Amino acid sequence: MAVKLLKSWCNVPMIIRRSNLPDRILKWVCWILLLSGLPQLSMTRAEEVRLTHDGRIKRDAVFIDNGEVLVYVVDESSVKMRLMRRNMADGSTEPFHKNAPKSEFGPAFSANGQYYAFIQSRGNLSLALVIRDIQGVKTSEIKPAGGFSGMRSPALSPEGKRVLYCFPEKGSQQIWSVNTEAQDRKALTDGPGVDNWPAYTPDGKTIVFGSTRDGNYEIYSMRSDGKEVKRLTNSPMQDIRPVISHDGKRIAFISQRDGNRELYVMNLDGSRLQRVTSHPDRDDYPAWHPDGKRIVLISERAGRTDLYLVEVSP
Amino acid sequence: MLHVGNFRSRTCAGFNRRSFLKLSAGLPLAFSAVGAPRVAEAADERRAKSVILVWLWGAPSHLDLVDPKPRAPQEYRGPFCPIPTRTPGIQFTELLPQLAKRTDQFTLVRSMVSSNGGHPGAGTVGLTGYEESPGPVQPNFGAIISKSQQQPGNLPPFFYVGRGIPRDLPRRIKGYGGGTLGPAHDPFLVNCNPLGEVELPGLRLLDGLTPDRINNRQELLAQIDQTRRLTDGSDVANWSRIYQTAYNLLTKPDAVKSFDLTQESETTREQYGYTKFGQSCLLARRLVEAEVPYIQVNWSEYVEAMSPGCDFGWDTHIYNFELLQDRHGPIFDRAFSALLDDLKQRGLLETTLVLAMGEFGRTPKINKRAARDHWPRCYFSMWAGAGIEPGRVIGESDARGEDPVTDPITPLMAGTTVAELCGVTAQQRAEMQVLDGGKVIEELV
Repeated sequence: MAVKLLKSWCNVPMIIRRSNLPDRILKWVCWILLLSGLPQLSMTRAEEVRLTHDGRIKRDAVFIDNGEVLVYVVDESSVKMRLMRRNMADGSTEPFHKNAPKSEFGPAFSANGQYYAFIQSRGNLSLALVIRDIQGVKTSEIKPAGGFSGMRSPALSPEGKRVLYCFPEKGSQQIWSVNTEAQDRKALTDGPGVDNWPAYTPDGKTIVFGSTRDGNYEIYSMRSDGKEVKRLTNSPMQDIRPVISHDGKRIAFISQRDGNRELYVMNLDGSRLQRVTSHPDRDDYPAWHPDGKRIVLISERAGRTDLYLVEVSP
Repeated sequence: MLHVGNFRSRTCAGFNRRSFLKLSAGLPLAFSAVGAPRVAEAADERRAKSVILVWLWGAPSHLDLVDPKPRAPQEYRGPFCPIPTRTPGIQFTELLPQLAKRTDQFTLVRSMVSSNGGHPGAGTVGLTGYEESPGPVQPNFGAIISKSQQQPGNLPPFFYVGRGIPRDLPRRIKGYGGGTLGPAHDPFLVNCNPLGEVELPGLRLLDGLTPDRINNRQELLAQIDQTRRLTDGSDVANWSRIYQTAYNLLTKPDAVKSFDLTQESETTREQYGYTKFGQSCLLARRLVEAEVPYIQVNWSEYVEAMSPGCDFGWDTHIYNFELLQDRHGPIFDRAFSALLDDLKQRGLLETTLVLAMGEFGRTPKINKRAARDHWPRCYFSMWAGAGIEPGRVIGESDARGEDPVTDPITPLMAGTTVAELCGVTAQQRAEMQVLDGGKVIEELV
């Protein structure tokens, strides 16, 4: 019984649950943990505040304007993803682009607030990268190549001079860098596998990203010129969507290491790993609030997808 | 909520007075096969009283879901980790954690092979067992089950839940319906949105037709006849079936209740997920309870929501890993798991065959767009219920998932097995001139 309880306990550390220890040993481990109160500690759940209630599929949240505005993407209809702007003070929500005839997703903003970028549908399986100044005066873009073609996951440097995005060539998917005129294209990575979700540190010197170069999705960092790649996580399950706190000290990311997608936080060097959420449904698409104490998530709860705000311990 | 044609009405306690049927012309017609020849004579022999075919059109990747190849070269294996399943020695990828816990409820076939590598053609092969032909194609497996029914029920015997016609294709899959058995055995289409609102596009509201008046059969018939005359090419037999179905839906509350998902508990609806596919699977379960013999749940329209003019189902020539990770995998994992659980808990799984498959697989070698293309040489199907021994894997693919290393299993074999489990004997199949030469998958019967 005790062993069964231990094995089914969703928050018991992975190392125990996934171990191949004999049941006899596990039984003793279970009783020791129960008596010590450790399971109760590990089951402490992050408080979550539900921000939306429509239940529609969402993705790609990001705070702007010092955390006063949350931009995210919602499936407005079955054929259209739309950027939305949520006023955090009163909860009012409106389309980010008043007139957006096509699907748009993947919004990213420069820390200085001057530029933003997003992915825009241009046709059947054809997706462009759009770079625009915040006033909407100047727009540059990387058009998709002929046939099926799509850019992914834009990110802007803090001073708004470079734009990162992901695009596959030769079977692997690399991280590319262009200026805000969508010129001066450089490949920052050239390894095997899929590179995705790049993000700059606030000083612009470091980029964190996800990659399958070592087999499955892990989190890595590198210099902004693509050199000195370091692996930050090592989990048999996927670690994805890293985002950096506004003070540049911590990385939030999503990991499936405990059976389903949960929010984790670690230091910029990969140390001090903490699990933040614990829910049998998915938690995904993290975005740091500028105060560094909260993270917004797009989570599935009871079969619906909504925005949730969770607190993160310092 | 029930959406009859373009109108929504609550159906918990009968009809809203403003909710009336309009019968439109020129739509795919498929209703209770009144007057159709009945060939099944051994209903008691049926292991499957109902079939739910979960048709994953667009063709899902076998390597990224249920046939991972972690030892294959990186350009083959993809980014997703294998995870253990409830069946020792069998691995899925991390995209299907819920189904991995339920492998004791179904049997997986890893050696499916199609003869066609294009969606329309392979769709016909996958749904009929045969290649397209210049004349009428062979019937959809559902049409065969439809024709074999001895006792017509209140509802049409063959349902399409979801349109199931890829919008990025130039034409409809020829094998969608009755084929050589005739349009009487075409599927009856219902749509279900993410909120579980059901639409019956084959039935439209007629001006001034009220529930009270519809009880007057003569008047209903006159209404239908009047509408029919407005159209060209609609045959009387089809209109008779429309009439019968319309009459059943409007005058037999139990028939209508099948479409009303609000009658389900919130917990049940949540388990399926508030997605089009999730609620469609729930609707399929309700149709099983209504003793509908064959329900084809088509993978939902526009799950990817990227391109208005392109609805590509599982046809992930780009964004394969993103879409499977973000949308297709989680939606399928949740809804299909809920369907199996729900049928089992209600005692329906023993007499219901649940089959999930697409028209082919996807290239084991990752393409230059970091995605996967068409691959008819090897794919998968999942079989549950109807007395099939669960917890097994039938067939095996090679180290890269390129070809079966065991005897290939074809769509014709799948269809023949479905028919056999539904009690349609070889003699009956021969009399209908269907599934000629088809062999059953011995491990499943």
